[in-house]
Amino acid sequence: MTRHLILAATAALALALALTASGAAFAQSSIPQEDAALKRRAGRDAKDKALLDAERARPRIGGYWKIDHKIAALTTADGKAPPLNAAGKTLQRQRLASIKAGKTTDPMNVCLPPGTPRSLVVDEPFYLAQTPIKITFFHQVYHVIRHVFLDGPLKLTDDRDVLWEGHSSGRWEGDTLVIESGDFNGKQWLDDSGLPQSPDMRVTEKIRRTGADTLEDMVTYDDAKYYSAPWTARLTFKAQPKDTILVEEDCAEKLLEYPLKPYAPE
Amino acid sequence: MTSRMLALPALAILAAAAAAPVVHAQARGAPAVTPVLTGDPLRRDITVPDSVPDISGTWSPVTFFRTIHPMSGEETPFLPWAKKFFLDRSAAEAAGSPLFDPNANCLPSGVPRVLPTPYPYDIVQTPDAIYVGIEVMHSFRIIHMDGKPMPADFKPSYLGYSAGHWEGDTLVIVTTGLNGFTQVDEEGRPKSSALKVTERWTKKAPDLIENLFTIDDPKTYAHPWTALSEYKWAPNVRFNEYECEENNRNKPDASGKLRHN
Repeated sequence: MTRHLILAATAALALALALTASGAAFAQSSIPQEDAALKRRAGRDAKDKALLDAERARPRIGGYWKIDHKIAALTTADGKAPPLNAAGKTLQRQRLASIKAGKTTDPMNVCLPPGTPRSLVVDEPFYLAQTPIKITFFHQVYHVIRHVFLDGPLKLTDDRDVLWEGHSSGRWEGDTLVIESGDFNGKQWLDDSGLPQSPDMRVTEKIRRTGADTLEDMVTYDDAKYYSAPWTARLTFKAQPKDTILVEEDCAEKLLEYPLKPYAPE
Repeated sequence: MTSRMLALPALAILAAAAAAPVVHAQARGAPAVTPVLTGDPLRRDITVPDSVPDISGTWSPVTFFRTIHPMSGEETPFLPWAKKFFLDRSAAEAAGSPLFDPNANCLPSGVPRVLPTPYPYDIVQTPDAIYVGIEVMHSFRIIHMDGKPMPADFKPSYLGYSAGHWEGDTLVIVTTGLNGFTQVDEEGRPKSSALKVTERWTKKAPDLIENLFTIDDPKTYAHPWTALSEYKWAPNVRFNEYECEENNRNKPDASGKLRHN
């Protein structure tokens, strides 16, 4: 027991030192070290006290983030290829062939949304807004807004005609934000390699801070139509500067049949 | 020995290492809380600074109108080219063949056309920025509250660059960096890239925001003019996805005429 404690203490000290070392970068990042407003308000408003106390105890995950390395094809957390079944393999093969033929059928190529959770996989920054009742992702890519109400359990609907983002519902389990998503239209590619998604896919994300400027999302894809078993990918994000500006990407401009020109005489 | 047991002393030491930016001595054992999904208008989100009004949450337009015109009742002070542009569009629409509109091609409504939005806003308010989710055309505005001016290399866009500050209880937003590709309103008042829009958001009641916005575009209008939009607190409204690109049915041909297919 004592030996375990010493090991634990040593590990913790090493982690603390590592965090201190990254303190300078941290100060420049968009991730608040301490939420002053939160501190001021905590305990002041009886009506919100329980909510605020709970929020105060939570990790701060809000801020600007970006995937920390480009992902061409998702793998499981231990580096293996996702367990596609026969139907999944066939569909992915068709998609890869479309890319090879120069006629990609990737929906993003015609300005359709990346969907959940591909918007996180795309190599573009996003702002994660954290409030006591809701988590909102504002993505640069496709101006995706994804709302995650902290109101689980997930209530599925049949409204799948338009849902690329699906419906998401979140809850905090200790220091981990758990988000369940469903109600997908099944049209999205999970990544650039065309991994498929059926309308019945359920996605479970476990998001937590892993360091001063890093965030981890363990994403479990559960879709019996295209995969032989649920599988989990590990996405890691790097905090972006506080003064990050999300660029307005107007993909639909490239669908126009002739270029836009200003109305006013220049 | 479980990883949980290892983690507990680790967290204690982390918490003691005050100099370190502690990740979080978090809340195991904290009381379970029922999240408030549909708070009341007086609720403040945790990210809202105490010193300013809380405009966070979901807001819906009180009315939607397809024309934006001076609230003073005066005629829109068109410059000659703009007057012709407006009349030509009105005539084409009356004749049943409306002219090209980027908005009908899934491009953002832009500022100021989105201010009398037909669909809800969802606002997240932090000290550094106010994020305004816009359901129509799946976009969002970021109102920079940190005093940072528009970067020199900012590419003009539909929503532009918005810088905000509080004047007492009024949120003042100045938007520049707008492209000249789209109109002020659906009816067809034009704009140029010289446009500057100044909005004044005031919470007139716990559940009502008034937005007085001024159009200042010396290339298009003889003098600045001001219009009004109002937003009603709508805690029960949930955002929907708006994927215009999947319903892109009225693409124009090269002459700018719409195909109805």
